[in-house]
Amino acid sequence: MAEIVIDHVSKRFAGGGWAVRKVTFTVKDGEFFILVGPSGCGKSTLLHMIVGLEDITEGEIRLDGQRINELDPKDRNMAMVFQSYALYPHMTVRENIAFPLRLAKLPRSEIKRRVDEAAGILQLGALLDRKPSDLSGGQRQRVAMGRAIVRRPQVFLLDEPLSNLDARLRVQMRTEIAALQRRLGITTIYVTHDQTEAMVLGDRVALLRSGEVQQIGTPKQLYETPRNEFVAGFIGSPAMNFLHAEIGDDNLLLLPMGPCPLPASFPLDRLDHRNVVVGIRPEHFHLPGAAPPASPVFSAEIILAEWLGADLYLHVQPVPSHPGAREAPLLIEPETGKPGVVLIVRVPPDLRLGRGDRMELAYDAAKIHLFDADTGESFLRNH
Amino acid sequence: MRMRLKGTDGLPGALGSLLAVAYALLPVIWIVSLSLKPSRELGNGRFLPETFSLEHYRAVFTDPQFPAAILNSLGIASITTALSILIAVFAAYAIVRLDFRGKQWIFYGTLAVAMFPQVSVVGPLFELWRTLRLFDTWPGLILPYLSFTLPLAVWTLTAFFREVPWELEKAARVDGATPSQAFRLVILPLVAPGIFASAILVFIFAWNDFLFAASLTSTDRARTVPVAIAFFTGSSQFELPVGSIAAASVVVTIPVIALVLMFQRRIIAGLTAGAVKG
Ligand SMILES: Nc1ncnc2c1ncn2[C@@H]1O[C@H](COP(=O)(O)OP(=O)(O)OP(=O)(O)O)[C@@H](O)[C@H]1O
Ligand SMILES: [Mg+2]
Repeated sequence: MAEIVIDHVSKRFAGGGWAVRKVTFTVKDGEFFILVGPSGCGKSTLLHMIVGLEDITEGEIRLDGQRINELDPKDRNMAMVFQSYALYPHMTVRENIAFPLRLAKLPRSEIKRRVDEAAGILQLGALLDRKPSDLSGGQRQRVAMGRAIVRRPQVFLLDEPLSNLDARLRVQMRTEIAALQRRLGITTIYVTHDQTEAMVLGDRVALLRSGEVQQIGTPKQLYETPRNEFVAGFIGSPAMNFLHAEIGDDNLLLLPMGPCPLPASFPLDRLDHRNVVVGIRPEHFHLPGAAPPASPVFSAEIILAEWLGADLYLHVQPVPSHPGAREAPLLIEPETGKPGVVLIVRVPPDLRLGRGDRMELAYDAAKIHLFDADTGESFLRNH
Repeated sequence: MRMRLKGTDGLPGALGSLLAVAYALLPVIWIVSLSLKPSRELGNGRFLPETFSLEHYRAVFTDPQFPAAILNSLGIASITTALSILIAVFAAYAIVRLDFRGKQWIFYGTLAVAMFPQVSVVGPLFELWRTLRLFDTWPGLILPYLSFTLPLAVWTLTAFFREVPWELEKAARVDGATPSQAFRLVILPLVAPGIFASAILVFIFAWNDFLFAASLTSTDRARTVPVAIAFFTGSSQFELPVGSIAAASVVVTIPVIALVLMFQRRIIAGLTAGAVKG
């Protein structure tokens, strides 16, 4: 049993600002909980507070109802895999994995049994007598995992354990970690800045920005009902398209691609004549024939095609063709540096179109997201 | 590219090293040769002895002064080394790992002490030690040795502590170590090469010192080997005991060589390789 309650926890570094601000969430027993967010948002700091390596400036952390703010790390029975693997370079793999057991003063035979067991689970048997410097990145990562699981800890904390592996190994280890966690049933908090990892692995995900929790929920909830523009842009790859728009008479959404009637599920009374940001995911664009009935259609020019085998992503610029369409307004994504609006849309991979071609596109109006242009808060739909 | 550079640089490099080694070793070989010549051959000016004899070695060890001096030297140098390293390890750890006021000041203060001319403190120390009854005692030499070797040891060890990936200390704490266990079992082994390196330097300083030993000792109670050799007297007052001096010099070199040989294999760099990714 291990349920972790993070209760209005804040962290301020001496001489710095707030690295973590009033974070509150509960990790249930046996849950695989993900902390995700961009670099520097306070993920590692929060993890270090949970494991006891950093003091908690404000708030309380409870383990099974017991306040553990002041508990020494060695008494918390939590295991951690560090962002760097933090293997002891002067010890062999066997000694590394045995280290926590040695400190716990377990009998020799028991230590050997457990190290061999952990090595078996992680396929480290042939490497036990090597030093960390003689291992590949993936092997080091597994040794770090071994050192963590060998103790049978109450809680498992992983800080970006896969961030330095190559893409293929990352996917493989991701699967292995997920399987291992399910098998051991240990409450796990996993830190990553990679939204794909977060989506694939987590029972629940907490998205952090600048030390503050933006949203907590299942991957599906974060994807389908993001609470604000930041969550919407962070979750999903390629990222959601954002367009500035105005709401005109008769609840008509005036988009660069042409007007679109607002779905009635939005709180129309609060939206009357407002400036909003419209979010449309790449996968909610369709070819006109494949779109749900009555989807708005527009013309677009292809400026870039990214073919990924199973998917084709087109970067397109809408061409104002419909009467009443506004001149193309400024782009929200500043990185591209291109004038006008660029949308990323997913189309079937067998489409034979390339740069410079014109095409007709439709989008599923029922799937669009609306955000307050000033606060970025989402206007959630009533279901 | 690299190979080619190595190839062209190799010959002059090898010649240079050979020259350096020969330059450094010639006097040593000369001393060894002298120490093995029987007395009658001492003045013959030949580089190698014609007959080998251990008479000078016998002579220095039958003189009670010399064994006493060796004991003094060994004791004083060992205690100096142990104390110096012990203090320096904690000082270097604190300088690298902890934030406290005046940290920079301490760091550069130790450097300043190291640059202080030793001659300028000998006179005052002589007076002071006589009042404090430290004159001609082991502590009377250990104390000044500590103040001149500590900066060296602190600086060397600081460099090694800076290389330690501190996440290892955190990992050890999470793995169930107390702060002192984390230090002993994880951090200390990583700075071991630095400890051995500075231990050798400190030991050699204390072992070789002549200035303090000559001024602050007067009898066998604390007189160390370099001074004892200087005070050797020949069979008559008109004869310089060249053979005995040579034999004694060879004997005092042995502990230093033994120490270096023993520890040089442990002074290997790159011990932290593989600790952290990247
Ligand atoms: N010891 C420290 N002293 C002062 N500020 C710190 C310290 N450690 C971290 N910070 C600051 O706290 C913030 C959060 O850092 P943290 O390491 O938790 O980020 P992170 O989310 O883990 O980022 P990354 O994905 O890059 O690892 C950062 O702005 C960082 O600069
Ligand atoms: Mg981090």
